[in-house]
Amino acid sequence: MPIIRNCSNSMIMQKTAFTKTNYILIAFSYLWVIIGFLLMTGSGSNETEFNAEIFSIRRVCIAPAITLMGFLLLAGGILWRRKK
Amino acid sequence: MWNYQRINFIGGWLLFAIAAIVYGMTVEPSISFWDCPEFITSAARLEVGHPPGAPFFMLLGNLFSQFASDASLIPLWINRMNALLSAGCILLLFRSITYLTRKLILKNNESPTPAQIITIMASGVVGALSYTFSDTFWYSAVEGEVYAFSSFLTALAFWIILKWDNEKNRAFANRWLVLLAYLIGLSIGVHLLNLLCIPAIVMVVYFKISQRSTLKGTLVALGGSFLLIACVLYLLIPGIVKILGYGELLMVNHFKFPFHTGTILSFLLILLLLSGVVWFTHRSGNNVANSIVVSLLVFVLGYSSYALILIRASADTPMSQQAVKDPFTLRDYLGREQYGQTPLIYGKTFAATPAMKQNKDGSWSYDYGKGAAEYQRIEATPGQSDQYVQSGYKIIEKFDPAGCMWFPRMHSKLHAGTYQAWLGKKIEQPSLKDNLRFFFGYQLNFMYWRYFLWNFAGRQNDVQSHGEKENGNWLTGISVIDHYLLGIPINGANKGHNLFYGLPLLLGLIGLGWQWKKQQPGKQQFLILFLLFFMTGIAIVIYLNQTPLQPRERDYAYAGSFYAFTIWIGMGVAGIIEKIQQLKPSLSLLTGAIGGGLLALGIPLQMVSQTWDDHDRSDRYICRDTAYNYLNSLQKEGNPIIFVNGDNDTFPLWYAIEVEGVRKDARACNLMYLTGGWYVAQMMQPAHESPGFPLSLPRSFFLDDKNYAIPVNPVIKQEYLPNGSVKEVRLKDLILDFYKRNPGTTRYGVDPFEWDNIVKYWLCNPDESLRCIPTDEIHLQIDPVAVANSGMQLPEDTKIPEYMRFDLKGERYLSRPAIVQLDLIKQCNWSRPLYVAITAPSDEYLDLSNHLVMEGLASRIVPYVVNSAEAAIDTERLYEHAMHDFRYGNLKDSSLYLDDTNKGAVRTLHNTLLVLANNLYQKGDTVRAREIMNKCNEEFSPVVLNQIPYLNLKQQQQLCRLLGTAQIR
Repeated sequence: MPIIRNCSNSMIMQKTAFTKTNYILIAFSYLWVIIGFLLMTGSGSNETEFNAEIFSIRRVCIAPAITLMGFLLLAGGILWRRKK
Repeated sequence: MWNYQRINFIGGWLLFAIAAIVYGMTVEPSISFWDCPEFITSAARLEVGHPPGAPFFMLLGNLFSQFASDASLIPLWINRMNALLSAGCILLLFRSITYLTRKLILKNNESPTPAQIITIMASGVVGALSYTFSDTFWYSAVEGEVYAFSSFLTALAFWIILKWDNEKNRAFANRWLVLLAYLIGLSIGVHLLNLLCIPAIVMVVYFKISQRSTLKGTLVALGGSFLLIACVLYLLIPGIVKILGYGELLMVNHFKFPFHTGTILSFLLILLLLSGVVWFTHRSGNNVANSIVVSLLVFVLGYSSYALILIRASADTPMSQQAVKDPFTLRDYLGREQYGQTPLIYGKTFAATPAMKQNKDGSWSYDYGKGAAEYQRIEATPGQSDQYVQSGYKIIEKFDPAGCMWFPRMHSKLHAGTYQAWLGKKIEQPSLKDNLRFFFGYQLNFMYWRYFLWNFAGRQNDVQSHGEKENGNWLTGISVIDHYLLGIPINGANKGHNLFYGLPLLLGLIGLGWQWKKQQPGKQQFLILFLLFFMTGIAIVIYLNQTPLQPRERDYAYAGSFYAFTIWIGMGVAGIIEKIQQLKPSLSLLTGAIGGGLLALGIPLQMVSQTWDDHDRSDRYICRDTAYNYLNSLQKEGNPIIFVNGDNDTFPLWYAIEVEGVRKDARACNLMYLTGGWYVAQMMQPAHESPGFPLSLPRSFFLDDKNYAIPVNPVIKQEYLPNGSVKEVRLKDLILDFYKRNPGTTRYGVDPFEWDNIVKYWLCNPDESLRCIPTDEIHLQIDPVAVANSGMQLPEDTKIPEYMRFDLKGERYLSRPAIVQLDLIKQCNWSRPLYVAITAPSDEYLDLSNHLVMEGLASRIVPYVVNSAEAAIDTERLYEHAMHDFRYGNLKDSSLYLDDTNKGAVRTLHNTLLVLANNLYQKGDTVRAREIMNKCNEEFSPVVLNQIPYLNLKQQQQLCRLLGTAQIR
């Protein structure tokens, strides 16, 4: 491939872009996402009964906030680097 | 003082502040029309909106909704979120312009002189402000739609790739690319538009990593970037859901686990596998492979925001479109299946006929392709675990090749007439020339360039155009050109009449030329920007393949390409300054830069002088109040149901019930949605304080692949008469004959054409081939006691008939919405009031036009035939509602801006009052008629009314004169 041959060495390096810390941060952030989604689950309405529980504070306020925090932290986890 | 970094930093945030203040001042204080109320409901209460959904928008919107101290302020906060995201977009635009311009001015990255700093900053400021004050972007910045967020993400992606380009530490730089992959995954949860910046991104990467770019390399990279979009769109997005589907089927059907087990496990398995490969490539130190796999992993993580949709749909929220409870429905939801198939490269024209195939026995039948399998969920019962039962396959339409062509632009049979009207000639089968004429004339020119020029040349008015000269065209304000374009006098009274004299366009073109002339870096930049411009504009046009008579203007979809163009506008400033410095060498460089910058700054300032008045939505409450008015028109008792039909009488009502909790006892049921079995099933469920629909037809009748349309009075046999003609014997005749020959029989009920008997003997017949309406006139038996106690208006001379009759002569099928309506009318037995919104069609599905009595913005369905215009109004109720329940959207305020849709809502409200006043006057009740006219004069500012066309002002004046109330001027 001429493109690859044309590439400067900048792309193909022996050192990977990510450190162990990045992986841990990403995993940790996504854990928040999962916790948020878990908090969002619960019993639902059905054919005979409307379940007001589906709009509880836990499920429509706390849970989405935690999920969102996880998603935002994840971006930080990708970019994080140790200050020299 | 001349620290570039600091000035660039402060400049960006200054523009952020300007945009945030402008948008904050002009933001709509509550819901807006179209999809906004639906999106706001989906964010605030986490209910599921229309396909393909926007889970990440819902998450952020939900956070902002929590800042509202009161439920009625939730829309304001979500609108403010969009204002802030739009301001963020302006910040990123400024940074992107300064970065690109700087690269062209300073070839070797030396530090800039003060004159150069001024030039770069002026470019950034003028470009960013031009976008801030442009029509399309501002429109989306002040309402609760997804487009502001989507624009922000596009701007962010473009800025990130510039960040990557500029990063000195190349090992670290790759993280920006990984971040981009994550962002693209996330952005699927806002809007798919974001995928369209991939080609521009790929070209930035190619130009950076190839030491010298060649034409061949450029083309290969370009091809690769398109392949990448195709991979994400057609492989990754549906592929992952497909894998979840396999897992779900395996775990639920085979291993008897409950629903969702397989979906969750297969998702975790995908993560585990990807993580394993990430770790492996990390250990082996292969940076490229590692970056690719990490990118894939974070893409999947971002995309996983869709779990929100599955979780909430499984909780059965009252709004839960398409009931996305499993990977199979999610597949259709993401693929936007219900919008139908639009051909792109090769396919049907409007003249195409379905393909036929010959069967083994020589007969002919329709030829269908078999698509993906469809599944029905069967919930667990004692002794039987949850399971999916395959209910069939998706049907892929096939067409006779004679009616197909390459690049078909006129594809919709429904629009056959409008295509021909657009081209102004009769067409049997579109030729290549017709096809291209339509593509260039309508799709490109009318549905793209017109919008582009609204933003950068000028706009005639805010009235939606379907091609006429009077409305919605672009123009310049230069009378010679405008006269040439339209040939009619230009009326400037409309607030949406915005004249830019084509100056932003001119500046953009100067910028484009300036960039192109900057040798190779300029040409590379040009290609990158052009790709962004093309992909987020014309490529969408090609992909959407739109038909004429769109329900609304579609400029909002192309904000991305206008964004790209404003980068050129910014560069135009650098171009002008350079020219000044060349032409006037006597001036110092600094003076030239300041002079040129100030000159160019006039352009965005001129723009805002035009666009402010038609984007200032402050103090406007029409959409919200209209929703209140619909709901408060319903009887307080008996859990009423209101049938609605369009976006604008549906979403606002859903919002009012779900978010503000107005009339939780009532139900707004969209007639069009009733064609979907999932929706009927939801209507049969209770929601808040509203009980489910008490249908006599079982849930199983409404399964999605069954009983869409029921044949009406089918032909049973044909008799050949002696004179050679053929007589068709229909089912009704046979039944009548049978009843005649067997007096006293109740084989199909006492009255075989009574609805309950039709349901019992025909619609619920286990033999599916007998499911039909056995008559062309349906009878609904009426319970007179229930009617008397219903609370509906019963004019004194009205005798309640024994039956309500629905004439179906000439109809071949009865649609599902009509069946639901019929069954509901019968089963609600007048104790549960049924209404039709006055803006919904009263005869599209079931002809109710003779059975409606107007009580407000809704008409009640009554059993008797309404035989006069006077009887069609419940004056007492309407008066009560108009005087005490209705809210008038702050229309007293003469400074209010009303766009086309708002004007329509005002017209409806205003007309309701006139109808009422006239009715009262006719009855001789001048006292109350006068009260209504006073109300009318008090609630509607004459300044506002005078802006609204087709308003019945004459009648208002006449009534005022007759009643002696104050006249409007």
